[in-house]
Amino acid sequence: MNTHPPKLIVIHPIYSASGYRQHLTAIDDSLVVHHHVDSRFQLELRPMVKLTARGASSYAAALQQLAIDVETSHRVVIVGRDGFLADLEQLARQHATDKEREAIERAAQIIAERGRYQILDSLFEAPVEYKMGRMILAARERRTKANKNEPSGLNCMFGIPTPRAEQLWHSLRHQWCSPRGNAAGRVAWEEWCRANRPPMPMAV
Amino acid sequence: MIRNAQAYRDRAINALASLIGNDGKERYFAAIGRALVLPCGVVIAGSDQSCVLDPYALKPFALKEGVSVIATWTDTMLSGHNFEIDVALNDDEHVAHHQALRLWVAEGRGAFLIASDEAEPALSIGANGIGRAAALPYRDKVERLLGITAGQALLQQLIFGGSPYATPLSRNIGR
Repeated sequence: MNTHPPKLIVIHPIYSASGYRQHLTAIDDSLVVHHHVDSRFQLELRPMVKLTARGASSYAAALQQLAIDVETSHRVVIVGRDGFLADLEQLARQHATDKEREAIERAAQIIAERGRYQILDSLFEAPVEYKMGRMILAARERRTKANKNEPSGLNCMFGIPTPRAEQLWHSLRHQWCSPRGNAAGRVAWEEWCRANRPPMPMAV
Repeated sequence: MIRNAQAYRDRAINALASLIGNDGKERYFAAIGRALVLPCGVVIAGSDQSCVLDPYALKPFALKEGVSVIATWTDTMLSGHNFEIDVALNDDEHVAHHQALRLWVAEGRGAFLIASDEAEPALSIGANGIGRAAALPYRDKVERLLGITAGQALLQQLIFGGSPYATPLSRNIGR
């Protein structure tokens, strides 16, 4: 009774406004959930990809990678699926070299065939994992440089984990772990907090 | 229908105890909570979502008390989950912690606890307690899977009363 896909990929496209047009520029950090048959799981955070006209991170390469993922029966969640797929395909076609053109058509064909069932739009049909993925992405360290007294993320303040981080941990362990791992995760949280408690601040 | 989650823990302890013998004594331990002590030097512990049991507390407990510990975890919200069993096996003051074992059961061959890794030895569980089995109880992959399925079904039946969706709120509610 395994209700999970073997692999779930969560993609957040980034659009930038150049002139009057919204333009697809990058794919934000994407979360990948690997489910093993013995009900273990593994999280992978793929770094942000800035999409370019050609090269290793070109539109065509992103489209082909997506087609490969879909063809190996992974499930993909894309925020604003239809717009993203249309833009990616159009940009790939627009910047294609003669050699790539055939591969792009094949990838577009695969995505069109399978997209309806395997690529979910987060707005409507995404599974529970998607919400968890959003929480994980929201809890990353900030990319911009923090000021002197600002926290570098939402996970810790003054060395103490925030309620948000605690909630994320407990949701994760309950959603994705077996009851045994779930219990171990709860104990691990308590022990980590006890072991890493910062010293009491001194009065100045 | 059982509304109290602790009742599932008691049922899990009873289910494991029924594989060994029926003359246990209930005791409370600080490290593992309420557990069943069997005369053959085996302590059976259980856990539910309200009363958590740390799998890594089993080995120190077994060393301190000089017993073998069998533990399993239940979660009513995830009813129908795979039952994983931890064993801290104590032979001559040397304790080995076997993690996340599955129950393997076959008619006429008894009950065993086997690891997900096939290279590891199986533990036999029977009337004279728990110990290392001389050989793996199954011949091939099919027998292995069938035995695990039978063991899972047995525990499911004894603990959650049969249905994998014994609770109205299953984990699939958001799907």
